[in-house]
Amino acid sequence: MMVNTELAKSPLGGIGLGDATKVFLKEVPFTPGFDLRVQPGTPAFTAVIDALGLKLEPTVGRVMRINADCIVSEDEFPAQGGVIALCLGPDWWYLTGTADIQKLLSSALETHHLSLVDVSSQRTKIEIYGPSAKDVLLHYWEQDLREDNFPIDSCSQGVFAKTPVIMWHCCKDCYILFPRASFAKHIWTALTDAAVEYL
Amino acid sequence: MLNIPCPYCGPRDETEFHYGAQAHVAYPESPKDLTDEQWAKFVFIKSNPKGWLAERWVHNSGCRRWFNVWRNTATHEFGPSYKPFTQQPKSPA
Amino acid sequence: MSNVTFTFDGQQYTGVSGESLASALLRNGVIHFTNSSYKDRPRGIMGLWVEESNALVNVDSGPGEPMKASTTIPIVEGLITRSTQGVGDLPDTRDNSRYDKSNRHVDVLVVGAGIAGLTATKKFAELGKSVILIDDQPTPGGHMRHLGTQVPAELMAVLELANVTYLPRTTVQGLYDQGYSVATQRRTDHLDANVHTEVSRIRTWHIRADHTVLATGAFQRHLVFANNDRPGIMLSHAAATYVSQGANPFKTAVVVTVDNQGYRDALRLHTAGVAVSAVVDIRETAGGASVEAVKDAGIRIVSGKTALDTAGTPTGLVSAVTIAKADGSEPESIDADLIAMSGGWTPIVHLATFIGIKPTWVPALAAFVVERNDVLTSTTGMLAGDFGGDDDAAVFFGPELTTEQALVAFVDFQRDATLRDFNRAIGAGMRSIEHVKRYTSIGTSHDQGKTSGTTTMGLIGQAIGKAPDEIGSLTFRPPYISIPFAALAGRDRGLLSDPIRTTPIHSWHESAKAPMEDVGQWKRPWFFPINGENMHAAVLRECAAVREGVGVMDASTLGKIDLRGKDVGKFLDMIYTNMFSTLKVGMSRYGLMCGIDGMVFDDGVTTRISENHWLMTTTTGGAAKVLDWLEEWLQTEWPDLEVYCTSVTEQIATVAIVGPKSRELMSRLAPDLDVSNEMFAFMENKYADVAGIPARVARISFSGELAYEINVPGSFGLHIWQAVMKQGTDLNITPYGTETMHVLRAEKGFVIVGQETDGTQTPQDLDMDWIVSKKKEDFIGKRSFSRADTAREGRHQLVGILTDDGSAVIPEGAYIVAGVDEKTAPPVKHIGYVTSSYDSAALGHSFALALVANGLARKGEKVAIPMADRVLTGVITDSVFVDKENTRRDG
Repeated sequence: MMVNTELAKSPLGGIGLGDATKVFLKEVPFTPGFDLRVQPGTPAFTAVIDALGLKLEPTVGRVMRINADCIVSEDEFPAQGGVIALCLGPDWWYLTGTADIQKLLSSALETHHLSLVDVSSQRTKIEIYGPSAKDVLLHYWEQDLREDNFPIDSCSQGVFAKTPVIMWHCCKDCYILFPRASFAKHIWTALTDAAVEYL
Repeated sequence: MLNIPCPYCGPRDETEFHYGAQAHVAYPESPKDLTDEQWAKFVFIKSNPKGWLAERWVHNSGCRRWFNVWRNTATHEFGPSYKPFTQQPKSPA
Repeated sequence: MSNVTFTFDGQQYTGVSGESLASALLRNGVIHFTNSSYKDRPRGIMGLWVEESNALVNVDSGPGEPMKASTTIPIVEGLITRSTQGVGDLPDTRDNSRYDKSNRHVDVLVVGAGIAGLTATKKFAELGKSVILIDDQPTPGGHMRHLGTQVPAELMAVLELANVTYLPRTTVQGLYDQGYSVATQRRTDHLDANVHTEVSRIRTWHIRADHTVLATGAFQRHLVFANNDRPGIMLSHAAATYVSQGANPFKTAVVVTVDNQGYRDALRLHTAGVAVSAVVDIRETAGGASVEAVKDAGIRIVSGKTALDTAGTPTGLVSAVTIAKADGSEPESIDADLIAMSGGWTPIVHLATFIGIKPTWVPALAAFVVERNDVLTSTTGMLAGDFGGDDDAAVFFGPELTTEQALVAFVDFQRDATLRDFNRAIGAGMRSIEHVKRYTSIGTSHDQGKTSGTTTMGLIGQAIGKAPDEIGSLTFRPPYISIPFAALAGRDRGLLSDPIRTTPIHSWHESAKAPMEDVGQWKRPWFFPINGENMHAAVLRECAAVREGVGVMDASTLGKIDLRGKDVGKFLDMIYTNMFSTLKVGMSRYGLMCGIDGMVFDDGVTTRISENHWLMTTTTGGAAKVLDWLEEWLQTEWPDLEVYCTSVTEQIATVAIVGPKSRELMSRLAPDLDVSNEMFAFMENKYADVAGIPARVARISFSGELAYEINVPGSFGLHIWQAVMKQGTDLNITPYGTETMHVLRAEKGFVIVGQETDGTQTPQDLDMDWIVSKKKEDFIGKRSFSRADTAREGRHQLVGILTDDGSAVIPEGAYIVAGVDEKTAPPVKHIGYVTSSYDSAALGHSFALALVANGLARKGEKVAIPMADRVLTGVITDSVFVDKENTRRDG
């Protein structure tokens, strides 16, 4: 759905802060998001793969994408038609990107047991990038962020500043947090506070 | 801080999980056919021996999946974890 | 090396940068440091590091800190300290320093950067492992640093490796299951005496290591003899280290030892210019390089003797030591202003015991050691028994003393606990260290028995003729050293102390200056005061507006779960007590959930969006719990059901417009929507553009009034709210908060799970048997309704209470008693309690909901509610006070 940004408000109003040579934080507002639930190995799963043109692998923590290079230096999300799929559970993906995901999957939804729920307002997106990005995150993120264990295009759900988030390591020195909208201000406060020592 | 082996996500900190007590206690086929005593046993009584116990945990801050895992209740050592409705691995004892 | 000026007890001193406060004070000739806490005896510095028992200070500069060991404080320009007599005092100003926390995963954690720790670091680093090396000292080297010896270059080089992180001035405070450690790093205290707000003063590290190497080293022990606490009586390793670094107020020393460490320290004292009158060794024979070197230096060696007593100067400093055989025979007095004790080494087993490892007693070392080498943990260096010595130590803790002598022979300096106290414990039959510890308070003070622990066990053994390991084992608990609470809190203070959840409409509530109520982590507007109204006035006004006009409430906090699949209806039939599979598309139904114990667990309205698509709402606080509950049943009991659950709590913003005039307002907001009762019935859902946004509008009411809930994507929540306020201006649209919502629902007898319930109420207890299906074969909780306890007479049941004094609002939680008046003498039998209580604009009267034993059968009975100052009275009524016939909900 096209978002009427004149009437819509993002949880953080598109705020940004920092210094890209150290660490930069910013909200990327109004990015679409869908929770996809589908059982791997079923015809429904095959239908989803065909519809998205993206061979999903049911490996929790794996991010797959098509037409979606990470571009942290620009304000907008990847080029047209991009799909990014974050595998959050053995039958669960978070889909985002510039493609019309609802439309891509509409026929699969009609014939198969799967669930596609628009959660664009459920979460917002905060990018954290720069050489100190990982250090800033580790003030609150308790999971292993070492490159061997959380390489580029890994994702994970976990607890950040006592709130649930999705974390995506999208490219070098760049991470994207997907906080729930109700917690976005809290997380922003925590992140900017943690960044103080690095700026 | 336990390090709990989620069969889907790998080892994670205890804070990401909730505990679900003894594993392999199925909801009775027909509760109405149970005596009060049998029903109360199902509802209220769970095994908690000293030593190895197959338990349920849910990775609720992560993949949200329930799973079973062997844990030594005396030493906090973990044995293998396994998905529901899959073959139970042997007790590490 | 530069000079640093600091203050101690109001006097300025100059020390050498990099040294400890203790060292600097000794350099300035301060031997009498303070007096002891209970017995007021003069005391001096005895140790080198955190084992120090006597020389504690309050730090008054910078953020301030009480009860710090002067041996661990780096002197900095402007440092202000004050000696404490055992007890510190907290600064009365707020500590504005920054404290934070960070997390790390690593292959190997090495604790201790002495030679053993550095060697282990080198080994693992060369294997390509990532290593965090933590050391509580400012520079690496451990004892070697104390000895002034250069650490081998190849070991120093490991600190520079890319895969090694070296954290100096960092103390591992706790070691836990599966390689989890917590450490505190002091990051600014050594820089200056300022308060740091942008760099954290203390960082708490949470580290998960695949393998942990404990190379924690050892402390030296003291010996227990009469008057062993005078200033000038020190641990020999500490004394020799201070003196050889130029902090030397002493002229003549006697070394009292049980091992060759005493000889090595005697040589260091001798080399530094202190005249060593004698090395007094309890052992009859001693050999080894250090003994030979002492002989070569011409120092007198006394074998088979130990210190028995000391004499002091008029100000209490030590002036002489009486040495004797262990039984007190053959005494001899030797003058000295320094008595250096070497009572053996106590390896620092704390971290090992935190994870349940029992140390082993090694008689040849006279020490408890930990030898461990498994997947998770290994030990090395002195902890593992590698003392690098050339001798066997004597297992000896002090000579036989008379009762008089025992009164002044100290086992625990900080607690002023003496051998006399100890002997009384033994005399009273205590044998376990745990009992002796609690009886005497030995080991319970600031240092937590770092020096006295092994000594106490040794003394018990000596007293009853057993080896220390037959007495018990050393066990310690985290933290290893005291930590400011601020360091544990880290950034979890102020705004960050607990997450705050807000709805998309929150900014409007804030600008309306609504006081907020905490509902779980949510901030919800409590009421919207106008012109300085108090809460009571605001709530009466808001309630009246809803019952007579139109009000608006932000209901976005309700938990929402999207359910998809062909089996959702079947699933919900098991989850809810009432029937859902029969619900028609486009309709909503209220449902109650119970646990398997039959107790009410959550409630809410669930809507059938389409044949295989449903939307459940839960209580505001219950969303996560309910989602977990649904997933638990789907994953572990009924995996064959085709149902997927997705949390959409924040996806949907909900604005409820409520009251007789809501229909008019709804038609203005959505001109294309037919809002007539015929076309848009109670519990029905319609889709329409509302203020330009596609919305789902539901006719759901939590007040009994005509109401519409407008549901839109969260990002449009504020827009809808603003549109409602604008379109409703001439209808006197009245925003209302949680308090008015609570009053309105209570007037209708609607329960709030968690307010009317505490996990021990069945639906029947709540007078809600109407929502328990009699047709369904089974649902969660059903079987428990017929259990003897849930089916019994006399359970607490939900009723209303109408107060006789209509202006008296009974406090929630108040006890209700039957059949009494103000003249009844206590005790009175309580029959229930008040769960909700309000003043009602609609009734013009106060009222309450209550759980009362057998309450449903007691309607009409008079009850009393005793308060501190009076007894309120009332009558038991039905729980529905307003519109029993449900005539208002259709407008």
